[in-house]
Amino acid sequence: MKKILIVDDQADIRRLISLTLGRKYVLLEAGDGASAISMVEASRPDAVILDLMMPGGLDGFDVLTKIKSDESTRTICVVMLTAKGQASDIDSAIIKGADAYLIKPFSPLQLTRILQEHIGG
Amino acid sequence: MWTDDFSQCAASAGKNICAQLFRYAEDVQALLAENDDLQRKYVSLDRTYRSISEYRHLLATLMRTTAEGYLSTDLSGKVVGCTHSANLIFGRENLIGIDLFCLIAEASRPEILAIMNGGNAPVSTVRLVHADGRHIAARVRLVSSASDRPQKVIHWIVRPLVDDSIQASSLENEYAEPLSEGLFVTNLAGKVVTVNATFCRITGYEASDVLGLHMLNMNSTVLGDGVLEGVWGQLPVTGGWQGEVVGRRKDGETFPEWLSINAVRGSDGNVVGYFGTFHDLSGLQESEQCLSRMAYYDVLTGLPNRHLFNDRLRMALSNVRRSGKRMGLFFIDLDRFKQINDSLGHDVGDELLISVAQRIKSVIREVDTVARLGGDEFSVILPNLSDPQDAAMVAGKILEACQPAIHVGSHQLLSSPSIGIAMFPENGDDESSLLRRADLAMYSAKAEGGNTYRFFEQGNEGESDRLTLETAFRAALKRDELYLVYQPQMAADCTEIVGVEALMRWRHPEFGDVSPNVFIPIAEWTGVITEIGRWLIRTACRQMAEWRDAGIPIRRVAVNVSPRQLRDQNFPNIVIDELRASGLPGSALELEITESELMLYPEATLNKLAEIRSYGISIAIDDFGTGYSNLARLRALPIDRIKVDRSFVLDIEADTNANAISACIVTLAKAMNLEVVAEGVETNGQLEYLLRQGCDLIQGYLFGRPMTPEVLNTWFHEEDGEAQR
Repeated sequence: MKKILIVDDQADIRRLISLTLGRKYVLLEAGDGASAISMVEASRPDAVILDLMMPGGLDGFDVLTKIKSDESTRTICVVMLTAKGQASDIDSAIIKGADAYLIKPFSPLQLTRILQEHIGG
Repeated sequence: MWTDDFSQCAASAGKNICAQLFRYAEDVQALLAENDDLQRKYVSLDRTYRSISEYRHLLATLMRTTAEGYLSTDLSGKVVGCTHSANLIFGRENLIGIDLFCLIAEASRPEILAIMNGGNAPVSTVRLVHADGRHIAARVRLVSSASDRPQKVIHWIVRPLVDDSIQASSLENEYAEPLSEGLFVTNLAGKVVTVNATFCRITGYEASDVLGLHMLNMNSTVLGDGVLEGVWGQLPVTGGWQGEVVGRRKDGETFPEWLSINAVRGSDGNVVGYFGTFHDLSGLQESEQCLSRMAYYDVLTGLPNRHLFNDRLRMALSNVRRSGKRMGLFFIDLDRFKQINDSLGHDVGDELLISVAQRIKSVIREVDTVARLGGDEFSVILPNLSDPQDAAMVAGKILEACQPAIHVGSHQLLSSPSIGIAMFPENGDDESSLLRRADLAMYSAKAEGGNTYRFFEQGNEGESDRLTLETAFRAALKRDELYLVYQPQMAADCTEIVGVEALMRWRHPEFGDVSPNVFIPIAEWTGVITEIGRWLIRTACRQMAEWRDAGIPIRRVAVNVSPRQLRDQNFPNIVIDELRASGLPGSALELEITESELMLYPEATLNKLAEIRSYGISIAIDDFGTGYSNLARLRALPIDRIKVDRSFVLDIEADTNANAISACIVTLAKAMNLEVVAEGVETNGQLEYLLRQGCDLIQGYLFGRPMTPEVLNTWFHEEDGEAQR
């Protein structure tokens, strides 16, 4: 089974996503940018679902950049969760190398389809 | 449990959490709808497969009875009665008096003995001994009588096994089960002496109820008045009879029955009795209806297809002629559909079509018809309108309904329709003129840039009204404006041209090339078709004779025959005259008759066709699969070939139903020893499917368009050259 890392500062959102994906994937969670980066390096997930807005030192963009600039983690599929109405965020995400994005509140069906497309399982 | 999470969630009450939950709820709704849809599709597919397996079962049964022989032996095993078919199987003049064991190979005798002694199951695969010494594998079955009177003869059914994939596999199982046919045996006078258990099961009668009754007067068979006497009178002469009759069960319920009677001959070669079988066809009728439903509806959109559309148009016209009101006919084409299909793929194109179909449906009335004619072409029939403006209004509504973008996956598609409108009676009072004019009007709508509707206007055609066309056509034959083109029919393994189909064309000095869709109906309603039909046969025969003289190896030319020609009493003579005049052998000519014509006028037609066939001329059923065919009746027709309608070939790669139907048709044809021709073959993919299904001949653009004789000659030499290389 494939591995997915869920990165969001809100525990409830993480819980919702894991309800949707738990049947088909092995799930890991991180609540902030720093732990996200260390978990990526330690566990090498197949995909990361990454919230943009996270308080603390590192936000979603930082995590994205770190993942995509590192040779060993570049191939990990990153799905960004962005807030509505922030077109520039979406552009930035794409430029920084995100594989897909969803606007919150996102459709869980869409999420499963995107993951199916990118990493299978 | 999510409910625990939920109350925790609610407590922390983030606005974005609630919004996310609502999003979840929406998706659940979508999934439920999808699920319903899948359930529906599953049910429909399930029904289809069940229909098809019922057909296969009947095919298997029909195949059995065609090939099998019946014989009766006394208790010691000496043959005392047999049908002609049994003689044929063993290759003997007369089986009477021969010991059954002499007819069975040594290795198989113990089994036969065991069956006779009632030990084993009553059916076995054995080896028979043919008169010329060789061994034939066959299934032999002992038919046990349901009556409790002591039996003085043993009844056997023998069916040789041929090396045929149909026979080998599925039939094995079916033959092992109790017979699905009711059987009876009668004495010379036709009185029933024994029946089998299935007879009792189907009819509800006990053996004792029917023993001693005349086979045609058992309450279980109801023939029309006078028919009984006719059949009985003929039996000693013809040696057999089969046909569809009405069966009646003990409780009074009637059912459609296929009855087959064969004479059993004794030692002196005279008839000693009769052997009859019958099938209960009631299950079949439901299947036929189901299959014809499939044959009438477009699988993708669920709309009526071209065939049902033609039926509805005909009906609507006859109604509106009586009512004195108006009728509107729309031809609708989607703008830029080809581009969408090419750039985004067929899946997206399909979704678009489904969407458009629904939108059009949503703006028309219950009494109106919207059909998918094929590709991205739709048609709408609006019967009983008061005013052309009503048609305009509906067209406007359709345009409006198609305005909003269509969501397919992540794509937002804008596709608009071009609508052509023809009105009855203003633009014509028959199908072909209305169809043609709606088509022309649609082209002018397209020419305007699409996304609009246009009524037909006189200027559209570039040729005048019907009267002018009629007059012109009557003169066409005299003025040599008619000519023939020929489309090749290839053997399925693509090694040779087996024949050609002759098609008529008309080139008028002013109007130019007029399509057969236009002039054939004119020929029919003016009655000129008979004369033209004769010219067609004569010209085709002459051309064929020329080819033969030139050494071009085309074996056969096929010509289409119209219902009007068939109704003529003199038709067989006309055909034979032309054949003789050309010096061709009968085998060089074939007549193609559409399925619906054949089914509509069976009796009169049959006799004419039988006569024509006796000269060696072959008969093919055209457009097969599009009409209502009584399968059982089909068996009795004097035909040689079935031409599968092009609509099945078109859908064969994409559509499981079309695939299954055409496979069924091929199986059916094989069971009746008919060749199958597939029409309209355009791609290699279609060819592959057809080859796999066992099609014999192929016709279509993939191999060659209809060509003039000159072009055909050149084409032939090129092909020849290719083959030699």
